[in-house]
Amino acid sequence: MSALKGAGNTTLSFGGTAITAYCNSTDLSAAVNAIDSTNFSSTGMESDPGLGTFTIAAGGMLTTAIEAIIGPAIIAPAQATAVLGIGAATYTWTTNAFVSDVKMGSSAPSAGQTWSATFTLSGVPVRS
Amino acid sequence: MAATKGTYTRLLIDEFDLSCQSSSLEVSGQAAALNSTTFCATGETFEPGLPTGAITHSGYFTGAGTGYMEDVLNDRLGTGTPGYVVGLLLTNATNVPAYVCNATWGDQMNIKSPVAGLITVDGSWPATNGLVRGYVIQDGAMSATGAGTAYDFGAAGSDGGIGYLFVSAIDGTATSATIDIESSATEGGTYASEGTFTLSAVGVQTVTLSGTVNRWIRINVTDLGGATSITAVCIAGISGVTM
Repeated sequence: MSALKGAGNTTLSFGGTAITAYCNSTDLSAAVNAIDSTNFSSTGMESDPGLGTFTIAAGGMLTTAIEAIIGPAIIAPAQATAVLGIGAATYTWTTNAFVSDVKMGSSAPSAGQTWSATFTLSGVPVRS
Repeated sequence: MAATKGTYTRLLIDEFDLSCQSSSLEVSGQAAALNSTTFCATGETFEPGLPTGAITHSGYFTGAGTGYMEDVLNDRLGTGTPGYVVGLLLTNATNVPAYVCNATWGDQMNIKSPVAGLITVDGSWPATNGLVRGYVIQDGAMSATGAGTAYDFGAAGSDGGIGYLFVSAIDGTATSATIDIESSATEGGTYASEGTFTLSAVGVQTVTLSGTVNRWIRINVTDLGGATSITAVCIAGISGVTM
């Protein structure tokens, strides 16, 4: 089975609005903290899984459309629905996502204006 | 989707337009992720905390006089006198988004002098009570009384907002010049004043907008106060609409 390229196989929506067309990168981070359960009888370090933490980092070229979504979202942060599609897999956080970090601007006069955002996700997603 | 090049960016600090001395600008906003995980959770849960933000920028050292980057930043470094900084992005758009750092002060000024390069000046401004987001409704010289172009904000707001007037130049002398922010439900409808700026000098004026602000918004120069012209950028931030 061949690997899939990102273009055409990645979708992202936030607050019910598709923002796929404004993204050139998405990064889903799912991390489970390790609970140290090593004890005096251990012969090696032992750990057990804690709870998972999920974030999506996304970014792209700044347009009026994406600015109108992430700008108000960081001015007045509130829970909304985020849906990330990777190939045939979809991860949904229903009213459990908010924008926690936004950067917009120009790195140089001759470069394109860009945006980046971190979507903090609450709880585990529904994967379908 | 077409990219917008960086030249469509502006930086205003109080009455100074530093765009032509600047080469980069970043508007950043943050909301803390407050952990709300309980024993019933299957994954870590979070609620958004209070928003905060900042504007950071970089440019070139081109002089040391009034209005030059180093002078403007040095005057406002850690000062107790609040100032206003606004970053305008996508300035080729119909509705130009503007992010204002309210009552701010310079928390950093970095001047770098590489032996074989250009001297650069960096600045950073924290946003007290978070950033304010609005749209530009006036940008340039006003040399006669009358209404300006109306801008469609897309929806009416019911919880007021705020207006900023960054005045950079006055030709002649202005004594209590007045400029209204007006709104109407339709582009060609009757416009009502939502707030009035009164000015006699360059600098930043603010006006609180209350209650319902309709979707079409414009300025109306009602009195130049004796000046030949007033050059200013006016920004309207509407609660529930732009912020």
